[in-house]
Amino acid sequence: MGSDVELVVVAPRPTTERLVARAVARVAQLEQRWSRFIPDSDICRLGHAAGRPVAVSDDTLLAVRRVLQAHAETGGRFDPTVAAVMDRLGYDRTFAAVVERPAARQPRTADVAGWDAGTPVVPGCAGITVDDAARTVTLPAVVRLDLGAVGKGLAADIVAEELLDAGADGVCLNIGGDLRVAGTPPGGREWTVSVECPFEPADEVARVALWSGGVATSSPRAKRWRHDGDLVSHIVDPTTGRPLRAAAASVTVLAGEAWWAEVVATACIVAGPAAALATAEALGADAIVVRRRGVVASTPGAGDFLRPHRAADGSGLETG
Amino acid sequence: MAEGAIKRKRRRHAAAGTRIAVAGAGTGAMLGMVAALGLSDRAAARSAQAAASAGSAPATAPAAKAKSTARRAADKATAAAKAEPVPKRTGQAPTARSGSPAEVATKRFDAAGGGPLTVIVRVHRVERSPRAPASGTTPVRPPVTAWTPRTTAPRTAPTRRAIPAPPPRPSDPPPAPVTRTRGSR
Repeated sequence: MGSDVELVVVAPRPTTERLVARAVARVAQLEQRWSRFIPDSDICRLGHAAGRPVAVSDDTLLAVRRVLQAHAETGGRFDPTVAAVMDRLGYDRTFAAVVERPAARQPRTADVAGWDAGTPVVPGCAGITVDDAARTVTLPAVVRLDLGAVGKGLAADIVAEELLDAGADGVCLNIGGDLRVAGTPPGGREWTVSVECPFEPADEVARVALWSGGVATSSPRAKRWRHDGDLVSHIVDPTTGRPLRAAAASVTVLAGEAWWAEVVATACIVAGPAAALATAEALGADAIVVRRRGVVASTPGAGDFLRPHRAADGSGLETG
Repeated sequence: MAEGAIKRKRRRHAAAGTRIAVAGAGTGAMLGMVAALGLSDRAAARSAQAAASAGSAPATAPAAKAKSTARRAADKATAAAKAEPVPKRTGQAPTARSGSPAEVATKRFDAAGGGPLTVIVRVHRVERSPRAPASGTTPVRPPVTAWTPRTTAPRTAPTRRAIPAPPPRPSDPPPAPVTRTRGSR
């Protein structure tokens, strides 16, 4: 997942350390199963199976079911089969390694087969099958999965719910900015989450308070690197197979679960700034959009979550 | 129901020798007022307050026994309040489900598990105060308001919608963020 993780656990005193240790181990296990940069991960083994069924963990079965659902419900705006495009753009290793690679060794647009020949470079989810009885997944030979737009949220959901079942009273698990809150918050009142400004990370554009749910933010400004002279982002438009260009600066989505918030945030970014809010509402979630000139807009339902936040100049608290 | 209306109703029913009941929100307070009729104003107020605090007054009371009922309710409320020190209403972390003290732990770590485990911070630890109220004083209960904090969250969140926190009260300080969301890096 290539991210820092922040965990807050509210629990009876003797169990807290055990719960924290369990969460650390479980996140690492999910990383091991879902990373496309770990050769023996479930995701890598699926990609190299050349169309044969592959036995995978229950976590991966769940993840594949979720991405199929997300792809269908977003009309393809969320597409987990962008892995090949990511590789061709140079995002074929951890992001830290991508940005450190010398410019001379970066792939060039001309090397990306299919872009100019009209070949679909994002194959889509048709042909992906999950066999629950056999606990296997089968991908068509040309398809590889990238859980980059769902894995962090889904991991947060899985681990948070497991901690509650193991005795925690409340959990907030934030993986790289995509988070799940559940159970009793510290202080017993609310889980308050700051929404970071996409232009200036030290600032916040909003502050939201939840009792339970997921919050995820998608921003093409978050991961950018040089590719063939252009600054490209990690978010690909599945309809073109190219990195997004005219996109909102960021979309923050509030939903019942973190995986769905992350999926909707990606779908909103791909839909474009003008359609982002309508897309969120159509998918049953609330959203806060920061447009490229810094204008902030939100769905009507997001108003239930907003709290006063620190003004950009640090002078005080703004409402809404 | 206004206090005057309750008095009039009580007088009518007392004359007829029937029972009275006041249902709905604030039942304890209403019964306290009703049952205390006939006492001095000061005693009535004290009884009403005690019954409201206890929230355990019976839903009906024979009018003829109103005075003794009020006293029993007041005694019960006072005893219950003394036995259970009242936690602060704000800035207080919850007590664990088991009744043992709760604590809040924050940890930051690398998703791969092999990175530096940078921070472990105990934010605070919560225990019930062992100190009993001073003799002769009445513990102060939080004011009764329409908003009541929930003590347990639903375990199964709906997939689609997050659940907003209750709106803050005007007296609440601005909430400090627990964490922040941003584009994944």
